[in-house]
Parts: sequence; C-alpha cells; structure tokens
Amino acid sequence: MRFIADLHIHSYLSRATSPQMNLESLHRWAQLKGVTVVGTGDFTHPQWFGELAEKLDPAEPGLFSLKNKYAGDRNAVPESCTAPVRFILSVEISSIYKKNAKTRKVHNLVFFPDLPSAARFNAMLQKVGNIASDGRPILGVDSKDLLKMALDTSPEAYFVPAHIWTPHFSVLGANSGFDSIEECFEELSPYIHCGETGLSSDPPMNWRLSALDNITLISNSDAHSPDRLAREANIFSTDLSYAAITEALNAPESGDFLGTIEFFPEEGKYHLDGHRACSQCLKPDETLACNGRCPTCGRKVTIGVMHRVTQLADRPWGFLPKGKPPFFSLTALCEILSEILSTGPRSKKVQNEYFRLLNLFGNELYILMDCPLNDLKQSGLSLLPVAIESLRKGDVEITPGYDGEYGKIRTLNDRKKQATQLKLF
Amino acid sequence: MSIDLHSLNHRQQEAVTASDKALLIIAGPGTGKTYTLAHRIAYLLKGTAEPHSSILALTFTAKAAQEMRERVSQILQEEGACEHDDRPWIGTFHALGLEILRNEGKRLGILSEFRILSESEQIELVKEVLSQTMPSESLARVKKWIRLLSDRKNGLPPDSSVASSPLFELSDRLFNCYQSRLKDLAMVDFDDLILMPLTLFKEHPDVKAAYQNRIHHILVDEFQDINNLQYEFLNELLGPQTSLWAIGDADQAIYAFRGANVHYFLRFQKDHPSAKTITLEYNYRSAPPILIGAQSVIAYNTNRLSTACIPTITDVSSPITLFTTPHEKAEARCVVHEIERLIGGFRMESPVEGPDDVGFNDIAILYRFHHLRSHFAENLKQAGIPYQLVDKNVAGSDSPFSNVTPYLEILVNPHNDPAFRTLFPRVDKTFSMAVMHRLSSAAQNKGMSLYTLLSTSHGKGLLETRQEETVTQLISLLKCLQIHLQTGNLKDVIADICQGAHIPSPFDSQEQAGWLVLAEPFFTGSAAEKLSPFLETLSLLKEGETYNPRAEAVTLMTVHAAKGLEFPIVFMVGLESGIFPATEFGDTASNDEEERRLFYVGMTRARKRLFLSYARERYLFGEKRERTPSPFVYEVSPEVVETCPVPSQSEKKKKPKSKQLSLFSR
Repeated sequence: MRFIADLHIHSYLSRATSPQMNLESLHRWAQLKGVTVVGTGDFTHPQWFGELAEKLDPAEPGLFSLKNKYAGDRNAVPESCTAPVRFILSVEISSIYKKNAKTRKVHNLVFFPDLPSAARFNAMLQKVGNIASDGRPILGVDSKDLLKMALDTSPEAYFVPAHIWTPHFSVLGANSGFDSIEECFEELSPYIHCGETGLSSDPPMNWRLSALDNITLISNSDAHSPDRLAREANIFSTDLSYAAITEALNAPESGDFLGTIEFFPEEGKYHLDGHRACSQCLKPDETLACNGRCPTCGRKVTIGVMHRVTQLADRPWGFLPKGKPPFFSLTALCEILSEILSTGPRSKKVQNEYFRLLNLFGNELYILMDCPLNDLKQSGLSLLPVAIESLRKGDVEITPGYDGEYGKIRTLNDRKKQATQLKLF
Repeated sequence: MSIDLHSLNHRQQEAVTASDKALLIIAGPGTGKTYTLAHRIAYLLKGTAEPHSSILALTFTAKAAQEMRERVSQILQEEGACEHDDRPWIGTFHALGLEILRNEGKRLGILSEFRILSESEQIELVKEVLSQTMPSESLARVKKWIRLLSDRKNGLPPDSSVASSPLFELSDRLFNCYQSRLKDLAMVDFDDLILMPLTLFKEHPDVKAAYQNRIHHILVDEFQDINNLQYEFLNELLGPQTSLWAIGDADQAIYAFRGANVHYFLRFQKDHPSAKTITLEYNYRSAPPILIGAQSVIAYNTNRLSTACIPTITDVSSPITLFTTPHEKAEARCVVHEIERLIGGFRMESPVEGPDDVGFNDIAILYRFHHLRSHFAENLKQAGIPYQLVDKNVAGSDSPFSNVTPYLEILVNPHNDPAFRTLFPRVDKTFSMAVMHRLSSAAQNKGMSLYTLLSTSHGKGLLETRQEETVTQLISLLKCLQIHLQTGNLKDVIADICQGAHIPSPFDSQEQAGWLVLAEPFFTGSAAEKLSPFLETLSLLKEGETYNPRAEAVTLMTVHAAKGLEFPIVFMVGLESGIFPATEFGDTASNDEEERRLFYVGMTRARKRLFLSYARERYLFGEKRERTPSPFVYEVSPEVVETCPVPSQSEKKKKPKSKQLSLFSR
C-alpha cells in the first residue's frame, strides 16, 4: 500500500516543545495531515517510554497502534480524514564530542522494532549519560560509538544522521560537522543507508555530492508542535511493517520508496549567506567574491546551508543523478489560506477555513498533492485551486532566507489574483 | 648520541643536558615542566651505556608516573630508539617504598604477602584500638586520632587540638596497640610505605648500599610537594655517585596537610650548596590576562622563590570574568548558563554563535571543598550537560567501589578484621559499635580473627538470632565468592558481590567513569591474580587520579585535584571569605600563604578563559549566611578583570537592565 511516514518528531518531554506533543494529539494530527506512520520520538526518556509502554499496542511487526481507550473522541477527526495510524519507536540523540581536535555536534536518529530492544539501548545510554532531563538527550558519545551501541543492542536497529546540513548540529554541518559521512562513522559507514535532508536542503542540493549517491535522502518534520507534523515526510509503497520500511530505504532501486515531501529549502532561515542588519543576502559565489565580508559594513557574513553544500559539492548545480525517487515541494495549507484570506496563518479565520476544507475534501496532504483541481473549485475559495495548481507546478515566488531571516514562499501574486478575479466576472 | 632538542627553549635545553650533580629547576605553571622532565629522562637514556634501570624518576601520583612513561617512550620512538625490558623506574614514592618492602621486607620481619590498610579499614582499626578506653569516639575524633598517628609516623609535631586534649597521654599506648595490631594482621598503613624502607635502610646498610649502587640518577617531579619522610627517604637513596635532578614550583606547594612543606624546596639549596638553579620562565599555557591575574595574587606571598613567568600565548586576550551572584543557586545557574553559551548553544532552539572549538571536556568547575559542588552538579544534570565528578576518597563514599572493597579485601585475607568491621554495619544496621566491640574483644580473648570466631561455633551466644542469620548468610556469600574468584574475572566477581549483597553496581555510574577507566586493566584475566594488584592500585591512589580526560564531560573537582591539569576554560566557584582561605573549616590546618598558593594553582589551570564567582548568601552549616568575597579575589589585578553582576530572579523581573557595578570601584 501507499502510505506517508514522518519519522522524526519530539514529545512534550523535549525542550521547547508544545505540551500538546502527546500520543493522543499525534494520533489525531497524523490523520488530519494524512500520515500513516509517525515516529514516537524521545523513546530514551523514561517517562515517555513509560507512556509508550502503557498506551501503545503492538500492531504490524515493528509498528504500534494507540490503544482504543486512548484514541479519544472520534469527532476530533473529521470523518473525511479518519484513517489508521501507526507508531514507530524513534529517538533523536545529540552527540557532542571531540574528534580530530574539533568539537563535533551531531544529531542522529535511532529506531528499534520493539520495546525490549529500546529498553536495552536506554539502559546502555544511562550508563554513559543523562537521558532523563531531555527527550532529545545530549550525550558525550562519539556518533560512531553510538551507532555501534545501537547495532550491539539489536541487528534490526536503524540509524539515520539527522538534518545533515544544519550548521551547528549535523554530520556535514559547517560549524561542527565533518566533511564526509566516512570521516564521522569510519568503518561503520556502510551501516548508514539514509540521511535526513532537513528543512533547509532538498534533494537537488544533495545530488551535487557524488559522495551521497548511495545515501537514501529522507525527510521528516522534526515537529515540536502537532500542527507541524508532516511539513516534510516520506512516501512509501510497501507493506506496513518496520522491516518493509527499512528495506525500502536500504534498496531505493526496488521502487518501494516513492520519494519525499519537502519544504522549499529557501524558506529556511539559514539558506543563503548574508548580513541581516545590513539587509545583505548573498549567494555563495557572491560571498566568496567579497571575501566573506558584508559589502555594506565589512563585517563577517553568516554562512548558510547552500554555501556549505557548494563547499563539499563535486558536481554543478542542476545535476540530475539517475534512478533517484522524486520529491514534492510543498508549503503548509494554512500558509496558502493566509495568502488567500490576507490574514495571519494562525488566525481564527484561517483555522476555521482549514478545518472546513479538511471536512470537505480529506486530509491536508491529499488537498495539497492529489485532490483534483476541479473538486477544489467547489471549495468556495476561488483562489484555492489557483494557488494549489501553482504549488504543484512549482510556480511560486521565493524570497530566500539568510542570517536568521526566514525566507518567504508565495503561491499567489497580483497577476494570478487579477486573472482569477477577471474569470469570475 | 643525543636526542633532538629543537622543540625546547634555551633554559629547558640547559635543564635537559645539565651534567651537574645536583640541579634544581624552578618551573612555574605552564612552563613545560613535564615536557622538560620527560626529555631529561630520554636524554639520559640515550646518552648512557649504563642500564636504564639505573634511572629513577619519582612522581607524586600514579597518574603522573603513567603519563611520564608514555611521554618518554613517545620521545624515544620519535628518535627511533627501540624499547626493551631494561626500563627506567618511574613511579611514586609510595610505589617505590612498596617495591622495596616486597623485596626486602623480610629483613624487618614483614611477611612478603602483606596488605596495605585502606582508609576505611584504618578507621575501623583505630576504632577497635580505641574501644578499650574510648568506645564512643565520633568519626571526626577517630579521624583526628588517625591524623595524630600519621603525624607521629611522619615525625611532625602533634596537631594542637589533639595535643591539648587530656587524652593525649594515651597516644603512646594507642600507637603501640595500633602498630601491634597491624603486625598481627600482616598489614602496613600508607605512611609505613615510606617509614619502613627508611628503617630498613638504617638497620641494614647493605640493603641501602645495594640500592645506592644501582641508582645513578634520581629525578623528582613536583619537588615542592615533598614531605619530611620523603625528603629523608630521598637522601638515603642518594649515593656518592648519584645525581639529583629536581623540578617543581614552590608557588604551587599545596599539601601542607599531608606534611609537605615548601621549606624542603628551600632546604635543597642548603643541602646541596654546589647545586645550580635553573628557572623556566616562558609560560606556554595561559592567555596573558589569566597569567597577569594569577601573578598579581601570588605576589602577595612573602615566602617565595619563583619569579614571574613570561606569557607566550598571544592569540587570546579575553579578560578574567568575575560573576557576583546573590546566592549559591544563582551562582550555579549562572555558571551552567555560561557553559551553555560557550559550547555554542547546543540546542537547536538556541543556536548561539559560540566559539566552535569548545567541547564539554574543555571545561572544569573548581571549588575549595567537595560539598560546594552539589548545586553545580544538579544544574548540569537538569540542563542535560554531561559531567564527571572527580573524587578524593578512594575508600570514602564517593568511590563507586567503596561498597565492594571490604568484600574484596576479605577475599584476599579472611582474617582481615578491619575489613570485617567496615562490612558488618553496612550489611546489618543492628551491628552497633557496642556489638562490634563485644565481637572484637571475644575474638581477641580467644586469639582468633573475627572470621574464625564467626564461622565456627566459638561465636555462639554473642549475637541475637537475626544477627546470627546475617552472619551465616554473609559467610556463605563469601565462600561462594571464593569459588567464583578462581573461575571468573574480577568484573564478574564484583558483579556477583553486588548481586549477592544487594548493593548498587559500580558499573552503572556515568558520573564516575574515571574510576572504571582506572579499573579496566584489572578486569581481564583471572580474578584471583588481579584482585591484589587491583586493591593495591586503589589504595595508592591520590586525589584527582580518577579524572578521565577522555570523557566528553564537564569536570567537577577540587582545586587540589586539579593540580597538574589544564583546561581551556576554568570556573573557580564559591570564592568567599571563610571558604577560600578555608578559615571556617577548621579541620584543615592551613595558612593564608598556602591558601593563596592554592588559589594561584586554580587560576593557572586555565588556558583561554577564566571565570571567578562568589555568592553573597549561602547555606553553610545548616543556616543561611551572608558572604563576602574572598580576599584573594581583591588581589587579582583589576585591569584584567571584568565584573559581571548576576541579578537574582526577582531582581531580573524588576529591572531587566541592571547597572554595571564594579567590585573594584570601592
């Protein structure tokens, strides 16, 4: 079957997360968004682990479902969205350590197919660090040693470097990462089959590195609140099981992995280089041309993700490797509604419209990706099919982010709006 | 043949290649002391046709000895020299004493299988000895008596607080009793490891001559830490042909409470009038503001030899930061917050741009006393920052092995009464002092050990039924362990002890990973063979030796323990009058000059950044007390200090921007 999986989220027991990040909300929002498999996140946290053990039942091999008594009020999910939801045991671990005389800060995702394995892994981590104070624990453990610990715990352990380009916290990050997967994981590198592209990079950026040709690029939301679920996600066409999912990722040529749902990477706030105070946004080559200094004030500019990719890339921009699964760049439905209604994405008006549309058509990803435009014309929002069509075609206006300034994605512009107005009259 | 000396500066070269019979090298903090010493050993090894074992290098910690061995073999490897079995002898004074006793102790009538009394066993033995006359001495008093015994062995005048006690006249009898019990048990205490070889040398000049003939070069590290007995021991080892090469820094002498005395550093010149003195003056460790600050403090001492060091680090110049905080909780919060900032914001939510070369193990929090650490450990834990606690007492409750060592000692020798005495009250609280006294007297009257008394019918009727059950269980556990000892490795045996005795496993403690690194070499091979060397290693440990430099964690330790180490970033905390200098903690007889040296040692551990902090209010001795800054804080040259007042939570809410107050604008 075809299904969507979001494998990286955090519970309310991680720092700076919404108190709503509990199993009940995740179960509800997965249906609203159209996600079938959700990572539990945070399974190393003793309290969260306790909740997982209590509230989840084993479902298909390696996956779990929420017990009926916790699945809650049926009315909380419109009938149009109701669907089964499965959980997969996941955690993100922050490793901070010295290697080759540099401080490294690398985030990695670890998955297990069963609670006893996760419990054994937790017991091992407990001996080397503090896992009880943060759902995403910080450990002074080398990423490679962490991988070894996971593999020692269970041969079915699955290990994925998280958001590999993030400047401060990732395996290839500019500030505290490595220049290659091999430098980080050495002889255990063959166990790394996947890399998470993160919000600020998309597959074409990664394709510029031949070193990543054998790495399956996956995408997850890293959500800290339930409405952010599936802002990035993965599409599978396989059995619903832990083994089927990991096998699909290990062998993308099988065609069981149908690709990813992506952010427009330009939306990320460290996409390009620049100096925010002087409103200087620079492309990597422009930064090099001015010696890394702000053309206005001469201070050092902040280096973005694109720059780091350019540093490590051995292929030109636009290179298309063979046999890669497709990807779909999307933006949140609430953002589109905010454009249409000319009001904030978190406003009451947008929220009401959002749920009305879900009731009419089905879950959010269906509306964004698959719902026939003719159907959307019945929504009462004449600009909705226009905006969605633009999104699906990639006909959007992009203002890239830099130096902490978020980028902007606009599916509509005055021309499109006017054309729609004219058609109406 | 010679070694490559290009990496050394002129003074260091002079020290390495000197041919003087006696040489004193004054090496301030960060001047390359260990580096120079290691090169000296390598230089001697390469230049001599004599056996390498004619070179003796004495250090004050096993860790320093290990580091020295590694450095020397690294230098030799770089020189392309091959290693062979004939090696220089590198170790501590106590390890040397131990080896001499193992080899020649029979001349003094000591069994070659003797054991070293651990700290907790010593407490029990003294309690046992005291029980005849003073059965209800408090632990603090028992420790005072131990101090008295130790001072006596070290030839020091008794501590005034004990000497003035009406019971002081008992000390002769106590001493004799203690010594004869040690002999019965075939045990020696820590001081005996120096004292007995000295006696041996005095009573058997042939043994002394043999050692003197064998040793041609003696090198002493950290010479300022030498005490009376060690100085005497050293003099006995010096033959007419032996050269003496001593390196140290009188400004870093911080062990007066162990009988070490900066006086011996000064005495060296008197005893060896022909001796040359070389001063290493370039500091390769600390940023200039740190060095200037530290030197401005130590300049207040009058009893000094050293001259100021010259900084060579020029790429870092951040001033020393002084946090003035409203209370101890705010102090801990502020320090942990600063650590988060330095690590460069280690959370996605707060990716503060920090210097990207700082890792957790670059950071140390140093304090005057162990109990000042609790708030820091707690805050680090809450913030999810990994940390390691470096502990002092090998036998104290700080060691993760403290619960299992009595069992291990009994496995080595079931007739070790002090070990039994430490064990009983832990296993069963009803074994009070009175009960233990009853048992010990019964055993002594019958001339047998506690183990024999209790494992046979002789002990019948001395205990209540429930206590007898405890004893039966304990004895059968010990018998089981005795069998495991022959089959398993030491790690398994320790695990068995924990399981059998329902005590927490030492292997589950992450905070004290340093201990496990230390123990690891003893966990392979047969437990029966590794047991004694393992216990011996534990009993020879000194403060700070459980520090694990490889752990990716912030280090929490006392300033004493930090001696000989360096960290890019150092926080010195709890810098309040009464704590530093430690006048409110009367137990440690110290003086201002010694405390100032300790303060200096703390400051000079820092390479790039140094943070000082104090609280204006602190819970001490069970009550909230107002605090004033340590006088040493005022001695830090104001031009290298940036004062940073930390508001309390409530103040913060009232006025978000507080005015910069300078501590020095008095």
